[in-house]
This record gives sequence, structure tokens and C-alpha cells, in this order.
Amino acid sequence: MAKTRIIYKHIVIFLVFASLIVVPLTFTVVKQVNKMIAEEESVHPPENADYTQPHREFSDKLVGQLVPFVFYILVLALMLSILFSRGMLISLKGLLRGSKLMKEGNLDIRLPVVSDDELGEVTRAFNEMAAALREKTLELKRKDTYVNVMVDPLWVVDGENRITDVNPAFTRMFGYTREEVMGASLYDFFDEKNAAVIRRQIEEKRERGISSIYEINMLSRDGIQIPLLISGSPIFEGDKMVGKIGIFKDFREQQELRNELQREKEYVETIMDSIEDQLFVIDKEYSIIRANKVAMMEAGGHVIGRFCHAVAHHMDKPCWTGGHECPAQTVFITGKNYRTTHQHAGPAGERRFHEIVASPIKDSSGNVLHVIELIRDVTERMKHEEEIFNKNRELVALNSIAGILSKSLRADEIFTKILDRMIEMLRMDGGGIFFIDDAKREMVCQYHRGISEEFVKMMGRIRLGEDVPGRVAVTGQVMTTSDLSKDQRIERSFVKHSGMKGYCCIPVRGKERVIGVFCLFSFRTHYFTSEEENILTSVGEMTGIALENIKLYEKMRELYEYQRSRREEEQAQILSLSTRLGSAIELKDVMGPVLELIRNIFSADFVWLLVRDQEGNFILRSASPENGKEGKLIYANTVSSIEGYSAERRVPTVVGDIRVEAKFYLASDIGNSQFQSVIAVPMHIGEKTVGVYSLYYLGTREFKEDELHFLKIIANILAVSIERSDFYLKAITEKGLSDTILQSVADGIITVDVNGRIISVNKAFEKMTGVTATAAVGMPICDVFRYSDDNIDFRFSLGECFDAALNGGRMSRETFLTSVFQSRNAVLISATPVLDAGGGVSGVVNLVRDISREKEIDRMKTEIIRSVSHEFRTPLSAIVGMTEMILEEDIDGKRAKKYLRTILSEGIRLSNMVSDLLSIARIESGKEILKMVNVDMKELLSGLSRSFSPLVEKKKAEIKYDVDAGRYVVGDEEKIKQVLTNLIGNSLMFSDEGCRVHVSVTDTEGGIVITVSDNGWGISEEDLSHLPERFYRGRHGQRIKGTGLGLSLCREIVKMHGGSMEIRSKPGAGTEVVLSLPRREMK
Amino acid sequence: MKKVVVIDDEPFILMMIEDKLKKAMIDVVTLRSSVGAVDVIKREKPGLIILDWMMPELSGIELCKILKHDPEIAEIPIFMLTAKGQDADEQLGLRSGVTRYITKPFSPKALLEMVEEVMNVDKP
Amino acid sequence: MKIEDHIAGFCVVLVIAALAYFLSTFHASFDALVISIIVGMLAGNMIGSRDYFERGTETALTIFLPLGIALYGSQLVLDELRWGQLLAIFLVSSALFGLTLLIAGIFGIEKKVAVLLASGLSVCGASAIAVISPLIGAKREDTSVAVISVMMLGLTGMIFYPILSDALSLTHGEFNFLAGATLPMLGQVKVAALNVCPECLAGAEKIKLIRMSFLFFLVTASLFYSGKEGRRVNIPWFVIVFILLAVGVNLSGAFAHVKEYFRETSNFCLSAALAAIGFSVDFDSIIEQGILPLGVISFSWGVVVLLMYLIRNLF
Repeated sequence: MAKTRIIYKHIVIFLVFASLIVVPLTFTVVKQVNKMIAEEESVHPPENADYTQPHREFSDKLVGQLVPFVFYILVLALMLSILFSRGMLISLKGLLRGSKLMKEGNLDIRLPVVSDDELGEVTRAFNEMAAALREKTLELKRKDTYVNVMVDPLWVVDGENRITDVNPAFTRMFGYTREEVMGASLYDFFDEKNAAVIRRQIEEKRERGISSIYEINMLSRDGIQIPLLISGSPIFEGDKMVGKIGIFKDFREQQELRNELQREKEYVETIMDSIEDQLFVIDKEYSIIRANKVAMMEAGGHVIGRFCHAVAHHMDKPCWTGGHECPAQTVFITGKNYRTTHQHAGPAGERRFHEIVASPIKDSSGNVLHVIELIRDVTERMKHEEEIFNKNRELVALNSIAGILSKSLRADEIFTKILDRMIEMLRMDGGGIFFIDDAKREMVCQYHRGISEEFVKMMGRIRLGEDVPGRVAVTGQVMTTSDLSKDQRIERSFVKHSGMKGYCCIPVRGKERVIGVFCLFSFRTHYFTSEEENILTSVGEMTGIALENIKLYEKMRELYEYQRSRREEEQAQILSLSTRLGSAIELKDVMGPVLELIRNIFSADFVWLLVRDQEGNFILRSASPENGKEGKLIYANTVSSIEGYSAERRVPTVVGDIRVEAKFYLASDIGNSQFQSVIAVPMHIGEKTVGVYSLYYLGTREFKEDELHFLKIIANILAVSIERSDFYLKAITEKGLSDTILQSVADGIITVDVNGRIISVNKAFEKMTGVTATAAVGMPICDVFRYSDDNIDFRFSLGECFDAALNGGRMSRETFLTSVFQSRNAVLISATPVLDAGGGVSGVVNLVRDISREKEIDRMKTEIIRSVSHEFRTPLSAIVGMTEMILEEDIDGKRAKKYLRTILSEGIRLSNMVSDLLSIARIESGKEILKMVNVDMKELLSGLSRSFSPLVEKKKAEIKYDVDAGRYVVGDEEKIKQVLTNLIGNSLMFSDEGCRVHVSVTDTEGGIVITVSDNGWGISEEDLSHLPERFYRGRHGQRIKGTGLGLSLCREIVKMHGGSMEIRSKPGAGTEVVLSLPRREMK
Repeated sequence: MKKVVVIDDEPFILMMIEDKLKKAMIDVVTLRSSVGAVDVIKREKPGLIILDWMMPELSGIELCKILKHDPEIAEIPIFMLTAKGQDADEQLGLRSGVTRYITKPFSPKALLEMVEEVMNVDKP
Repeated sequence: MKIEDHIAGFCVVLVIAALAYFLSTFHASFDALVISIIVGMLAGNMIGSRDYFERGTETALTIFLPLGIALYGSQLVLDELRWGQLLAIFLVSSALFGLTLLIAGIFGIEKKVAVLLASGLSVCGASAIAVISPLIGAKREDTSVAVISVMMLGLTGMIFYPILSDALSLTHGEFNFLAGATLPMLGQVKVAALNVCPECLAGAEKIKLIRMSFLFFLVTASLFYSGKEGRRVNIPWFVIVFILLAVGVNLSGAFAHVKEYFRETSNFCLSAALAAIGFSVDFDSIIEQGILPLGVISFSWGVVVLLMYLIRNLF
């Protein structure tokens, strides 16, 4: 246009000039010429008209000549002017073209500078501008490219929240094209809820210029909610906010993962909460990050975030500082499972025992991240055990004291030994024995332990009635105190502030009076239990008797010097008796001989020993000569008898002629024997009367003092022995029963008597079956499960196990149990007989263990390993085949997505399998260090034979172990056992019923050779060549489930030991596996 | 147009084969289990059967033996498509009357070619 | 082909031609042919969207130009002509043609432009250019440049020839020859001749007409020169008609009474054709090409005129 305008101007100028020059010029010329002619004619008048004619025509001619010329010249001038303004025109044209190009977006402009004038300058400036613009545009383009290739969608919105730009990823993700969304309000892309979220975000943050990232669901074009993470930031121009930019992160995958995680978490929590034991997850700081309901309840609610020791011990320090091992710490260090029993303090400060199973949670590289602690309250069990342990300890102490007493008559020895034993037994720090000096009414410490000579000297002599020992000596009552220094009863005492805390004083009773005091002390607070007090009392009495005995003995030695030989004999007999009694736990066997011995010593015609039961009845325990059955009731408590009388009076009672003594009833068993003289000697332990033994004579017999005393000693020994034996028996029964119950408290337990009636069931049983304890107790065991027809198998198995247990064996059966609520679980029934002291079966404990989970895990493990190769190829099929199909474009977009998803999931599955396999391989890779010991093969094989016995039984197989005693192999016992278990297991597995397996260990020049051979199915040659391969499962592998890893594992282990393994087999003829281990010496 | 019966316990294998063969205008009947397959085969009278080996209940090789002993359907060619890749397995498969023994992972394209080859040969 | 497309341009051409004819009645110096091309040029460059008229003007050109040239043949009177004069005219024409091509070649002007310039200068200005350009396939810009350059030279010559004639005291015959042989356009020859003496008009016009008949050679030469040897040479029909008419008029008196009608008709046709040429001329083209073509033809023209003067003085 510029050109045209310029040319317009030129032409207009030309026309103006033309009219301005030509018209006036013409008029002027015409006028002048006419004037000139007129003047000339006035001077020279024309002679005729002809003369005037040229004049007249002249002006016209002139004008005619002039006008075209002027016109033509102007035309020329116009053209020339156009020519001369050419440069300018070109520049202008260039600029025009340039600006047009620029408008079109082509910025690669470099206009030629044609003219040197101002337009040239303008052109140059234009070029510079274009270059600058190009730079800027390139920069913008780069940014644009970045935005366009961005994987994450993005939008730009203006101040009114209208979209001004989106990138291609936006279209890809949401399906809206750029044109569709331009100018749309961003709220159009959300449903109400999400719109509210984004509105709030925008109003709160963005409008104030704050960036934020938040999650939101956005509607795609198809109306699908797509979970996203939007990171929005304001765009500023100077200080003014002109818009906002939002970048979206596809959150679908994360969402899915999160959902999965949530599900997983819920699952875990359900499991956790369904566990009856307390469960904690502890992190490295020892603070609890998770706990199940039981744990929460135990700890009183809030435990998360607290330290585990604070919850468990109510301490503010970890418990290992107190000398304990902390299970969590152990697991963090070792990374292995750890099981321990731990003493914790309850909320009220009472002692609680917890059995703790701590297991690590590891990350992929094997670092321990957290520890799971499973805590089971075993306080009851522990208390029980402790009780039993204590009782046992006491009995042992008493026994040993009795032994001492009966073995020695030397006072020094007896007292020091008793002192030592008591200190040891009660875990005291020291003690002493005071004897009363009757003449001075003082007591002297003669034997002591744990206190210095100086202290004894300082203590000097204690007056009777003063201080604790003095008072005890006067009152004859045992006195115990847990903390001497705080005891209000004791006012003045030399020992009160000597640092002693636990303190007891026992009177040592002689024949009629207290002859001394026995003191024990501890520097710690010690609570004396009633049992301990009883023991102390008996010890005191025994000591007294011993002392008396010694005194008597010494007197006797003086008086009956001549009878010495006889006395010695007697003493020897007592010793033998005492030894027998002391060492035997089962009195039954020795009681007869003991009474025989007594009968011989005292040349009696009949001796019997009656024990008194709780009601006061007298029951026959033993007699010499044999008379009646043990346990026979001799005298009821209402019957008056010499035995009852003596027990009442607590002294030996002698009757000269029992036949005439009317007040005593004589048992029918002996009533006809015409016994005359009788002596009944009561047996006491402390206040308790254990029983009475009586000697009957056909003639009359008188008893001397020393004989009576002797009888008393015997009575004491017998009493202790009987009591101990009873106690022991009771303890054994109790322990056995409670152990059996307690060890399996989480499992259903049914105790049954020999008649098949239920004695008790536990809570787990109730839970498992839905049958309440009250309903079950008393019912015949097999009838309890009649509520469902599905339990026929279960009842059969239970009956089988029960029968086996009744016959003294143990048996386990796996079967299914249907509860009242119709849930069916795999269970393991194991029946254990409860044996009484005599080895007879007194009951059966049936254990019903829910093994459905173990079963499931087992099945899964087997399944995974069995089909590993299959499983590897199958996902590969998906990956290879589907990828090919996608590449071949066999399938369209939507389906391709489904394919890709399958490929992904199969790929993940594959990688999971690889890692599973790796972990199996790690077990095999021999990273474990062998624990080399001398392995006694004989012992090992006998252990194996025990473990194989059920299988052997089942298969009616026979395993022959051919090994010399004392055949040792240096190696890791566990590993060798594993190998042999595997091999023998294989032999049993791959053979028919009634097969024979032969295991031999021989010593050859090359080393130890272990051979396992069988007459089973054998291995085909084809399979044999594949045996070293992992996961290879031979022909029989389809029939019998296995991993295909066993032999590989064996081979690895043997290799670790530096040996070799060889397999020889023929189908149908059996297999022989030869292991050669190098001989080596144990260092 | 002839039919192919595909038996595999893995759904995506079925999906792949179905997609691939349908694209080549071959009718496909898919079965997730070999149990009851004989009846289906008798009813459908397919031109070809593609079998997986390792399936629960009844394995492909057993099914193959059953099919080969039934004179009514013994003539139908069978492809064994399996993860068992050892030579011994293949020998066993071929001895059992399998026409082609294809190990996983497999190429759907190659499978299609083989299917077409067999189907065309069979055509009268 | 729609008539609507053509009608506008066609009308414009006719109006310009009529205007030029009307102006020419005022004074002999306003020759219709000269005025029509000038007005055409001015009008063409004044109108913003020339495209609208383009097809019409082209049609007008293809109709009127051959017709005008052909009919002008009737004005050619050869009986008074001497062969020597004919040769001289031919020589001068050839010299102009050859020299222009040579110099244009030296100055690096494009071949087609050079041919157009040479033919325009040596034969009959704008009409020759209009005839030649479609034959050699010249671009519109080339045509425009040639037309403007030749016309500017012609205008200059038209103004200065009478002065030159007086200054060199040329005889009428000599002036007639000079004007007829060297001025490019017929109208310019007429104007220049009329300015010297009314009698000269006929003489100069005769010489010019003879020169016009060289169009026949020119066409051939131009085609060869512009490198279209491969193409079969089609001598335009109007050249044949021109020669036939000239021969017919000279040999028989049969045309004598229609001669005047032919003259007026051909005059009108030519002025319409020139108006069309002028209309299609674009001033942009001289902006592109600059003053060089004008310089080239001026130089060659100057050389030829100088040579002619020298030859006259020598003999």
C-alpha cells in the first residue's frame, strides 16, 4: 500500500503542477500574445484580414504547442521522480514485506539496507528488532517445546480462573483438546466436592501468591475421575499476579498403591488384633510404632510412640541396662528371631513373666527396620514352675540334711553342714548357731558363716530373752522378719542396725527344752514363705534331735563302753536305712526292706507303718512281714487305737499287753496274732503328724530310754522320707499336668480321664469349637463333637489318638474340625497320656491345634517352588507374546492398554519370582558358616530313626542303621542331619510300602563314607542325568509333591563339608546315594 | 471357516491367542480347564486344538491321550503350548500324539502361521 | 470464460481510449496514442486492485493490438519510397536493436528485458513490446520496465527533436528520417513531426510505418535471440495481414476510399491497445529495475543518433 500511496501522491502532485503550470501559463501566454497582437495591430493596422489571420491563429498555436510540451515534461518529471524515490520505495517495500513475514511468524528476516537515508536507519533498526525478537521467540519456543513435551499435564489460567493454555499432555490425559478448553473455567473440570477443594486452595493460597501441592480428582472427557496431584503456582508480572499455572501429576498409580497399602495394613491389623498375645512393633529408637488391641488393653490404652521398656517395665531406661537381655536389641543386632522369657513389672509393680518372641522386619537389603515382639503372659506358668522349683529345692535340702544327720555323729560337721545347706537353700548371706549355757543363762555363738570373728566377739554373749535369738530361745517359736531394721517387734537388738535385713531365728529343740538357736540372715529383704518356715522348723527339730542324739551318743559311749560293738552295728544299720531312705524317691520299693531292717534291729515280730491322711484315718503304707495291700484303711479316725493315741500325744507309746488293754481297738488284720507288747512311734514333721509305725511282739518287751530314742530318730527319718516322697510325687504329678497344659495354652486342650470323660477343657477349645466348658465337662469325649456330621473324621481321629494315649503312647493326627458355627479348619490332634507315679495312665491330654494357616503356608510354598519353571515361562509368554502383538499392531488402543497392563503385572510377577528364587538360593549359597563339631553318628542316626518312626510306621518300612559306636564325623551336626533326613526321606518317599532302607557309615582310607540305599522305585536314566538341576522333578515328581531342591541342597551341604555325593540308581531296583566326607580332626 | 479350541488355565494366554486368531478370521473357543473339554471338542468339531500341559485336575498330556483314543476326534491335530521346555517333555508330548510342540514363551505370529498351515493342509 | 470477468477491464480500456481520442482533438500535439498510454499508466497505477481489471485489459490487448497493427498496413505507401531509404531505415533499426542488446548484455540486464528494450526502441515502442513479450514469455515486470523506459526515451526525444532539428538545421527529409527511424512510438513520431512542420508528419509517419513492418523480422530475431529456437516459429497473423494490406494498398487503388476509415479504426485500435499496455504497466517494476534500462537504451540511441549525424556530415 505504501507504494501506491506514494505513487498517488506523485500523481496528485503531477496533476496539481500540471493544472497550476499549464492553465495559468496558457492564459498568460494567450493574453500576452493577444495583447501583443492588439498592440502591434494598433501600431500597424492590418492591411487585410489575411494578414490578421496568422496573428489570430498564433496564440492558439502557441498554446497548442506549449500545453502538450509542458504536459509531457511533467509526465517525464513524474517518472523520474518515481525513479529517484526508488530507494525509499524499495526500503519501504522491504519493511512492509518484513512486517508481513513477522506477522506470519517468520522471524528469520534480514532486510537489505538500500538507502543511506533515514529509511536505511529505519531498516537497520528493523533488522535489529527482528533479530532481538527472534532471540526472544526462540527462547519462548524452547520453553514452549518443554511445555509441550512435558509428560505431566499443565494448564495456565488467568485471573478469572479461565484456562488460557494447556499442553499436549493435558489432552493426552484428559482427552480435551486445546481448543475445547481454552477460555473454559477451571471449575468445569471438577465435580462439586473437588471444585470446593480447588476453590479453597485457590482462594486461600493462590490468590495470595502462595504455591501449593494437593491431591484432587479431576474429571476427564469421558467423565472418569482421575486422581491427581496438582502443584499450582501463581504467575507474576512484576508485583501483579496475572494468572496461575497448574501442573498435574498422574496419581492413579499412587492411588492404587495407596489403596493396596491400606488394604494390606488393614489386613495386617486384623491379623494383629486377632492374636491373643500382646504384639508390638518397635523401631530402632525402641519406641512402639504399632500395637495390637490386646497390647493396648494390657498397657491401658495409649502405647503408640512410647518406649517399649516404659510400657513393659514401667522403667525409663531400656531393660538391658539392668542386666537383662533386651529381645529387641538382640534382634536388631543379630537380625534373627529370638525367643526368651523375660521378667517385667506389671502396672501395679508386681512381677510378671512374659515369654517374648521377637522377629525382625527387614528391608530388601536385609537391614532390620523394626522388630515385632509377641509377648505372652506366662506369669502363672512361671509362678507355678517357681513354686515347684522351690519345693523341690526344699526337699533336696531336707533330704541332704537328713543325709548329713544320718551319716555323721560329729557335732561340728553336722552343724556347719546344716548351716551351709540352709544358707544355700534359702539363699541367705550368712548365719550362726547359738547354744544356751544353762548355768549362766546366756547364749554363745559357736558356729557361724558370713560374719567375721570380730563381729562374733563384739556380739559376745547374748542373754536369754534379749535380742532376737534370746527371745526365740525363751519362747521356742520360730521368728522370721523380712526386714530386720524396720521390724517393729524388735526394739533392742545388736543385729538390728548391722545391715542385716532378712532374718530368721529357729529354736533348736532338744528332748524337752530348747537347747540353742539357729539364725540366718540376708543383707537383702527376704520374705520367708510358710513353706520355708516349716522347713526351718523341721530343721530346727532335726538339729535338736541330732544334737540330743550326739549328746546321748556321747553319754552312751561313756556308759555302755561294753556295748560299743553292738551300738556301732546299730548305728551302721541306721546309716544303711537312712541312706536307703535318703536316696530313694520311690519309698514304696524301699519301705518294705526298711521295716524289715527295723524289725530285725528291734527283734520285733511284726512291724507296720501307717500313714495318716488328711481326715485322720490311718492307712497302711507298708508292713513287715507283708500284710495286706498298701493303701488299705486300717483305722478310721473315729476308732481309738494305740497308733492314734501315740500320734495324739506325739510320743512313743508302749503297751505291755495289748490284749488286755481295753481302750485300744486292734485291727482285725493283726487281732488274731496274739501280740502282747506293742510300741507305737509317731512320725512328725513339725506340727504335722505324718503317721505312726508300730512294733508288735508276741511276748512282752520293755524298752529302754536309748531304744526309745533310737526309735524316735528312726521315726523322724521315716517321717521326712515319707513326706518328701509324697511331696515329690505330688509335685511330679502337678508339674507334669500343669506343664502339659501350660505349654499349649493357645491350643485347644481337652483333658480326659481313663474312662473317656472330659475333665476339663480350656478357653482355646471353647473358641475353636464353640462348645462351652460347662457343656463339655463330664461328657464322653467323642460325643462332644456330635453336633456336626462333618466331624465323623475328626471323631475317628480323636478316638484313635485317645486310644493310643490310653495305651501309653503319643499320637498325632491331622484332620478337619467343624465348629458349632460351621467353620471348618485343619487341625492337628495330639494325645498325650498323663502318667501317674506308678507309670499307669491316669488321664489323657488331647491337644487340638489349629493348623489351617500352617497348612495354607505349606501348600503355597510347595506350590510356588513346584511350578517355578512353569511360572517363569508363563509370565514370559505374556511379555513376549503381547509385546509382539502390540508391535504388530494386532490390537487396538484400548485393548493394547489391557495388554500392557497384563505385561506389567506379569513382569512384576516375574521379578517377584526371581527374588523368591534368589532368597532360596541365598540359603543354599553357603554363606552360612558351618559349626564344626564332633558328630556322633550313632547318636545322630538314632535321633533320626526316632523322627522317622511315624513315617516308617505308616509305610511299614524298615530302616537299618549300620554304624559302629563312637564313629565320629567332624561337621555341622544340623546340616548333616538335614542331608540324611533328606536322603532317607527320599528313600521312603519314592518307594512302595514295606520298603527297606539301609544307612551305613564306614571309615575308609579316603574318609568317612555314608551310604543311604533303598529298594524303592529307583530313578530312570533320563531323570538321573537331570538330578543336579535345581527345580528338576523327575518322573515320580508328578506323583509326589516336592521342591526339586532337596538333592541340590544336599549336594551343596556336602560340598561345603569338602565332600562329594554320588547317586547310583536303576529303575525298579532302588537307589544308592554315597556321601564321602573327608576325615579331619577336631581342633 | 474352521474352529480352534484353546485350553489353558492362564486367562491372558487365552486372550492373546483368541485375539490373534480372531484377527485372522479363525473362530476360537476358549476353555479354562481341561475338565469337560472332551465334550466341548465333540460338540464344536474344531479343526485344531491348542492345549496347555500343566493344568490342575487333568493335565494336557492326559487329555491328549484321551482325545487320541477317541476315534471320533482322534484325527483333530493338537498343538501343545506349554511351559515345559525340556526335550524329554517334548518327546513325551510328541509320543502322545501332539502335532506341534510349542514352548512358552511363544510368538503369537508364529503360532498363527502354524495354525494356518495346519488348517490349510487339512482342508479338502 | 465469463464475460463479467472481462467487461470491467475492457470498459476501462475503451474509456481511456475514448478520453485520449477526445483529448487529441484539442491539439495535434495531444496524440491519441501517446495520451492513451500515459493515461493508461496513470490510471493503472492509481487503481488499488488492478487484478479486477486485469483480464479485461488483457483481452482488449489481444483484440486491439493485432487489429491496429494489421490495419495500419493500409497506411504504408511504398511507391514514393526508394530502396536506399528502405535500407537506411533497416540499418538504423538493426543498429539500434543490436547495440541495445550488446550494451544491455554488458550491463548485465536480463536477456528477455534486453530483447524487449531493443525491440521497443528499434521497431515501434510499446506495441512491439506488447507483441514480443508473450512470444518470448517475458514476465510482466520485464514488459513494464521496457515500456516505461522506452516511453520515457520517446517522450524526451519527442520534446527535443524539434529543437535538435533547428539546432542542426536539418532538412525536412533528414528530420523525417531521424524521427521516423529513431523515435520508438508512432504517436511520438507524429507529435515531433507535427511540431517541426505539418508536412513532415506524413513523411515521418511513412518511415515509421516502414519500420513497423520490420516487426516481421523482429519477431523472428527476438525468438531466436531469446533462445526459443526449439519452438516452431509462428509468425503472427497480423504481421502477415499488415504486409498484405500494405502490398494491397500499394498495388491497387481498391483500398483508396476505405483507407481513411482504416486509418481511424487502426488509430483507435492502437490507442486502445496502448491504453491496455499502459494500464498493465506497473511502476513497481522500474522501482525494481531502476534507471539502468533507460540508461542503456538512451546510450544506444545516443550512439546511433551520433553515428547518423556523423554519416550525414561525412557525406
